[in-house]
Amino acid sequence: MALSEIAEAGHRTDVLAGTKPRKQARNRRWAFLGVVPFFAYIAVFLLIPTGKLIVGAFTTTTGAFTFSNIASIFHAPYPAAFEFSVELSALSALWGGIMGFLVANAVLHHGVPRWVRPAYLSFSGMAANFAGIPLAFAFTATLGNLGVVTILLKHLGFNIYPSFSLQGLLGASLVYLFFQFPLMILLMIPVIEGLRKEWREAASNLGATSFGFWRHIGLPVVTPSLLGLMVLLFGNAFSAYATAYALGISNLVTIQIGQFINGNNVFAPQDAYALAFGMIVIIVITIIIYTLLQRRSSRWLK
Amino acid sequence: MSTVELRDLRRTFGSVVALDNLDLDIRSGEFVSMLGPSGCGKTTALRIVAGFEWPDSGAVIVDGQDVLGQPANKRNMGMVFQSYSLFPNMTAQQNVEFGLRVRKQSHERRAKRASELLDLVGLASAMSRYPRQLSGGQQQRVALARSLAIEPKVLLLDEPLSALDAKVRVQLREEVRRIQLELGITTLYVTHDQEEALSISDRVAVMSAGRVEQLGTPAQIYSGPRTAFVANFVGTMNKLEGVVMSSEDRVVSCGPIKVIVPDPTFIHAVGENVELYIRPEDVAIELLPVGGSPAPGYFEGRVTSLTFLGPVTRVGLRTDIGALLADVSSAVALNLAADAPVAVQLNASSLRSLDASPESQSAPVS
Ligand SMILES: Nc1ncnc2c1ncn2[C@@H]1O[C@H](COP(=O)(O)OP(=O)(O)O)[C@@H](O)[C@H]1O
Ligand SMILES: [Mg+2]
Repeated sequence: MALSEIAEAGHRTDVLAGTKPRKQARNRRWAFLGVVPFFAYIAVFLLIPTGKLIVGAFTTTTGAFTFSNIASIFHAPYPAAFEFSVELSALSALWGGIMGFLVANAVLHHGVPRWVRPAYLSFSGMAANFAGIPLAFAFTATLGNLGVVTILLKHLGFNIYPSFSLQGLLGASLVYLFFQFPLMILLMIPVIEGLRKEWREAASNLGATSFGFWRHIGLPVVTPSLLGLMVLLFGNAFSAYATAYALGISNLVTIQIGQFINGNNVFAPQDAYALAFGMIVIIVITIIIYTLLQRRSSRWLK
Repeated sequence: MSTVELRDLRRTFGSVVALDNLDLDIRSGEFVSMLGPSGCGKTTALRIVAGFEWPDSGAVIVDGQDVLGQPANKRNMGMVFQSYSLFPNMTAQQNVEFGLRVRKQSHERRAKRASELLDLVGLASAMSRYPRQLSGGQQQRVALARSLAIEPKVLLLDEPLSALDAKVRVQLREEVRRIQLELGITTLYVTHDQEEALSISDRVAVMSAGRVEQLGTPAQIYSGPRTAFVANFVGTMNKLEGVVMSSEDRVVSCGPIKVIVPDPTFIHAVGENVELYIRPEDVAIELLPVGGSPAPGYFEGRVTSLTFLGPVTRVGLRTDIGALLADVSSAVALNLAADAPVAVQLNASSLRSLDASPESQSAPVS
């Protein structure tokens, strides 16, 4: 999902820049050979597991067809886990998306020295992959119950605990933001670069302010990509496991599934299939919503 | 209608001098082209006028007022870019209406004006199409209509046709001129295409290395280039190297032949090496019968190449005074073949000597 979305975002920038797909005439008959390994890989590691997962979600341990696995995910603690997963993913995608967009814009501003960009890209590339135990540790050490920032704030008279916690929606989304927003910057920079200088200048020439440009041209033009990237961030957060695990959050779908894999939940192994199936359903629904929004916002691209 | 004066504009980018004290006056309602090779500073000058770029020193005076202090969006100038400048998320009509929308004009007035302008550029039928659904030429028409919608004081065009096919380019440049004349709008047009500049301008400013090398009507520029640069950049020139034989009578010997320079200001000492120029259309040739010798006033040459240019054919010649190009009617050229002997004559009244070095020539205008 992540790969295809990134590819899609890249494609859309091409469209903005006005480039056309190149025609491939030579060696068309054998050209497919090159992609065989890729499809083989997809088949073995994506299609087969997914198929097994879906079958597993609808069969008993003895192999008989059943709806009872699916029915079980509507019982505690699973609905709460789904709810928290969706909320956390959506919130961190929203924050990350907006902040990443603003920062990518700021980095590309013509007043910013040139060397800032590669430095920022390197930092973002690193930060986007800073997840799991080290990230959880970093936040526990700063904003945890006994973290330095928490204590500092306490000295200043702001006691953020117990209303705040790194396991709550706000706290956890703040931690997730740390890898969401650099990822957004990385993916948003090419999109913003796709906004042609001529558009800004033409708008200004016709009397528009910078705000006018963004309102009438900039935002409408980047909206399809912006939506696509926020969906990507949603998926990124939705499937995150290590960070949540290290933070000690238990009511997430991925953590619940993890308990089956770790053997900590031996009572109903088929429930893991049903939970994973539920995740797929939610991702599919997200993509459908995205497609509808996208279609509305990109009529001019057709 | 407005007048525009570029005063002593200087702009450097690091060590690159993009504009070297450029001066240019454009009269009210006039169509002036800046013509010059790539990198000579045309775009920089135009962008300074539009407000997207600032000079290190100098002034841009519109209707007697220096506009350098005004931001681009307050200058009320119409700009047409080279390509891809239409807002992709808006239809042709919405693009044309944009400037009026910014000016908070009513829906009806905007729509009326947009349809008038799209009519003017011949695109009334495409008003609800998005830029992606328009050809390059159509996009430029919409861009022109969009820039005219705000009734700009000045119309600025930066190589607006250079991304188009040859045929569309010729057609569109004539339309740009027709519309300009119809509206009487003061226009500054940038191009590196001499034919384009000569065919549609009231006056042409030939630019080189950040300054105006010569300013004049197309006819003046073509038939009276004042520097070697202008002569070579506008049209094609033959260069003859010679030695002054008589200072008073302006006789120059180019190898075995002698010519008289018609220009009375040609003052050089006897024995001085000079360069003379003549256009290919001022070089006449006649087929020499085998074994024949050229008549008086003619000298011998041999055909080295034939380039068909439509009504005329450009003939490459090897002569005693060096390689020459001659334009002859294509019907006549049918009788020529490579290595054919020909008699060559220079139209002496068209010979000119030019300053090789550029000189400052911002001709004062009324
Ligand atoms: N933003 C810029 N930064 C650095 N050099 C520039 C910039 N803009 C123009 N130049 C330089 O200034 C000179 C004139 O450029 P330009 O005005 O674009 O020429 P033209 O439009 O006649 O081709 C060129 O040498 C170009 O490289
Ligand atoms: Mg240019």
